[in-house]
Amino acid sequence: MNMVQRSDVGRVRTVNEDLSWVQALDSGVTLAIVADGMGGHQAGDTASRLAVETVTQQLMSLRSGLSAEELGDALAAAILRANRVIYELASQDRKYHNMGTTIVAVLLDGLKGMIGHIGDSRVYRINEDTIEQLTEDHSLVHELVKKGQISNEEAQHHPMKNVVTRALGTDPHVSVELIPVALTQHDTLMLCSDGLSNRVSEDEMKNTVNTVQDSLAARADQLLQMALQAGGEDNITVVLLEQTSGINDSAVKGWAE
Amino acid sequence: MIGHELGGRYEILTRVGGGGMALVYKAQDLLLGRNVAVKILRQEFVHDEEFIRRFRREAQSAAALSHPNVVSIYDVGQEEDVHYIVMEYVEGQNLNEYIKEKAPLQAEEAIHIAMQICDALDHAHQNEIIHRDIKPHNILIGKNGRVKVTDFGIARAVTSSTITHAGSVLGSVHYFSPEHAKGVATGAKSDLYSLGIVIYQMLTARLPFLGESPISVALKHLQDEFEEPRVVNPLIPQSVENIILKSMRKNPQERYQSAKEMMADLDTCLSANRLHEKKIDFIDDAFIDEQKTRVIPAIKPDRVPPKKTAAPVTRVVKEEEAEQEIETTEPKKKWVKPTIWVSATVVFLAVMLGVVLYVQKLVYVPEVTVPNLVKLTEEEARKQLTELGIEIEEPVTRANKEGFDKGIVFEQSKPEGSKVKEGSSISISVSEGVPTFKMPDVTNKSYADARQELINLKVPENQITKVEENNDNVAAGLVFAQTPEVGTDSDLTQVQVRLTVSKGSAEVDMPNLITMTEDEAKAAIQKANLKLAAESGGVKREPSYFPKGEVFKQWPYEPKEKVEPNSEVMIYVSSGYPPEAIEYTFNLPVAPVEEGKKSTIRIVYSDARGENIEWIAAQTISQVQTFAVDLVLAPNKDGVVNVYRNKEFLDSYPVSYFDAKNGTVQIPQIDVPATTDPVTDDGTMTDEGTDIGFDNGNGNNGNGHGNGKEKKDKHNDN
Repeated sequence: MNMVQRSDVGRVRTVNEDLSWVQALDSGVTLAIVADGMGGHQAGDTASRLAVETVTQQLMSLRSGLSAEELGDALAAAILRANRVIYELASQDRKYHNMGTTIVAVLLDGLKGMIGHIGDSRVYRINEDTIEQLTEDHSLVHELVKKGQISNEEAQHHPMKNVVTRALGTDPHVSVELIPVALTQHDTLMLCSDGLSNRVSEDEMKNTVNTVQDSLAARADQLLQMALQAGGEDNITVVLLEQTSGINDSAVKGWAE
Repeated sequence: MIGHELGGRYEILTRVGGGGMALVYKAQDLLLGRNVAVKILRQEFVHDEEFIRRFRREAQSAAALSHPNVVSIYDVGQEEDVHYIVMEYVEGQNLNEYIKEKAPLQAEEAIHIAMQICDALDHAHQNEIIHRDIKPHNILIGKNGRVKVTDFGIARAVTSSTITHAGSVLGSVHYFSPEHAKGVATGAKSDLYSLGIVIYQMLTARLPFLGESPISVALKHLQDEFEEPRVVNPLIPQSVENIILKSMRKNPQERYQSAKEMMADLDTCLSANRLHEKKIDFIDDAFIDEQKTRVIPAIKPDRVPPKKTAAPVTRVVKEEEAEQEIETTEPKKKWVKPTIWVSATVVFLAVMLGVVLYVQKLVYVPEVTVPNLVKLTEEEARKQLTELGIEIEEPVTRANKEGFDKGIVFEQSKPEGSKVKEGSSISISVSEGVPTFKMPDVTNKSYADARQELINLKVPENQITKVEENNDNVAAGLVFAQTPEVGTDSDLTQVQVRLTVSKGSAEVDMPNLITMTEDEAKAAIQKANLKLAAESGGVKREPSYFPKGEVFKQWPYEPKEKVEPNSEVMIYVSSGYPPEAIEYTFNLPVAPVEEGKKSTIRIVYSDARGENIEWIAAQTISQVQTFAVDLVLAPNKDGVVNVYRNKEFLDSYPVSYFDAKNGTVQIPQIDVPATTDPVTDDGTMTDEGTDIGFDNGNGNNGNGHGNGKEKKDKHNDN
């Protein structure tokens, strides 16, 4: 698995409350996480860091050869543990009042895996022909669009477009949405925070990810730059995952370098 | 905060409430000797400059309001990190508490309260201030029964804050107007909608829209009908229900057009002449409304009116027709031209033929037959041609020719057997022999240099092949093997040159960089023939449970992983412990097996820094000693201290993060009567009763102590 992660504070904010993590675990399963913290000074970045730390800590010693269902159970348990940790700190320390974070975490065993999802960070599956958003935002505007109350265009200009309906760490109980994922050799998996998805269109994402003559890192950089150039009001985070073992792929995509 | 003298003027007395944005305290204005309410902005907003600016501006504009039903704002101030608003103190309760206690209210009382709220809104709206967050929590009822609305403009400051902008969780939306949920402009009529809900709640003791989550409530505001107030509470007069129904219309155009208009309705709704009022009817309006929404899409830009597109289309058609017309006329012209040309040529040739025949007759020269010259030596060919009276065109073409030795003719311009006139000329090509090529030594040159050298020696580019292989001894990019070998003569046209170029060593072992300093790690990366990642210089500084300055993570390769040379590595350098970390000193008394006799003690701990860390490998004690074990705890990692005595496991002491934070760690007790002074690991004495090693630099409450000396004294100095 070829993987890159990029995170940037953006052009307006002073603190990067986003955090990403991607690594192969001891079991050989790949874990990728994007968390977008919220709650202001020292709280948002603490929430996203606790989320990433706790989930990785919990999954580090995951057994290999698990079924999709078992992967999902492990992922949900790890995320719920993070919820308890964040909520407990937030409710005990005024400094962390109301902190919370989004999370998208993917466990990939080969080409199959599971996504755990809370909030409005996203996972996309991209190949030459299509781009598909695998997660549904837990946000006010998405619900309004789904119910036909507002158009996609209106959603983009809604003053509360960054308001989520579910977050990690803001309530003692939260439900994790689990989404199974299957990739082909030619698919790229992209995790991102809303700092990217609010600024870069799906077409632009697809075209950039499909610029296969560039290295995966260069493509991630390009996505980041596009979000920055489109305003960069929010923190921007992107993780790209691509299969390395494809036939001729290494030659074509220049990973051999 | 209690007891604090804010701005040298307001002495904070008690906390009286708190919302999402601020905490509210009752305070004494020492200058004017009266009670005031002080609203202190929550920590999370304090560092948001844009918000602070907005907050002050909104507070200032709200301060311009002067009305018996609006909570007066006296002062806006800041003392270091504390931002506050000083307001009129209202002794009493808020409407939310009042509703919980007393609802459903009598119509008279509800209307009396509603009128005062409406009057406050009318005043604010006339001053162009929209409340945007009318709800019972923001409506105070004084002991004298006077209603006062508070927090004008604050909602706007909150929604414009960076925090909200960067993401927040949807809060309570029970009093949200539909347009607020939809994200379109909110105005005076939005406040009237919220007031309608407040009236509904006062009279029915329930909310019109309830749901299991804020989002379902928000959607109900937009699309659901609510249970009519009189269905819930038949005692509500129809005229009063009508007010609720009108103020809660989803379409703002159908509501009251102003607070003044609503006020007038509230004013008369309980008068005798409205006792038999009919239920308000919106069916027609709703129908029109629906019609409107159906019509609107038609003028959206994505549905282009047919006329506009029709015009260009017809124009295109015309152009096509015109083109076709041109095409149909063209073939005629095409036929005319060739006919003329062909006949002209035929005539011309006929004339020319005539001329040639005529000239030939004039100058007749004898002909000879051209012999075969190919494979003859140049000398022989010349001799033969001279005998026949044929001249050789000079200079003779000389070229490499496969299969022909040097000096042999391989081509003649006129074939054997053809007739030529005496004295005419012929050209011949003479072989220079086979092109040879001596392979030079190009090893240890870069591929580009080697290739250029071969091209200079006339080796055709497409006969040079590059092969890349790993080689532990040759630097990447250099040629380390070649065919043909050095000095081999080859046919230049046939030779296939193969250059084997090193890709460098196949793989290198990823060094373990963890716990190195940044400089050490950089050196190790260079030494291993790897490089730092381009992104942020290959170094990221993040908080971790490693000592400040140490590498705590290397990415994406684990130590000992095989990686290709020149792979990029990112190192994460610890910027110290995260702000929520707690450094806690656990004072642990340990007794020897027998008082006065030597026992060997071993202490091992686990905390946020790692598992089973050896703290004291072996220390001899002969009486009870208190060991001060410094732990670093995290919200997601509690500590454990294990004690071994004379190589046997003695006991295990868990130290939870939240206990340490709240000062509720269980103090270990041991059953040995006599104790001595506590001794730290290096044997130095510590003062009795000193609060040891607790980090409060980051604003922790600093109320956690382990204390081994004062047994049984679980103190907590909250």
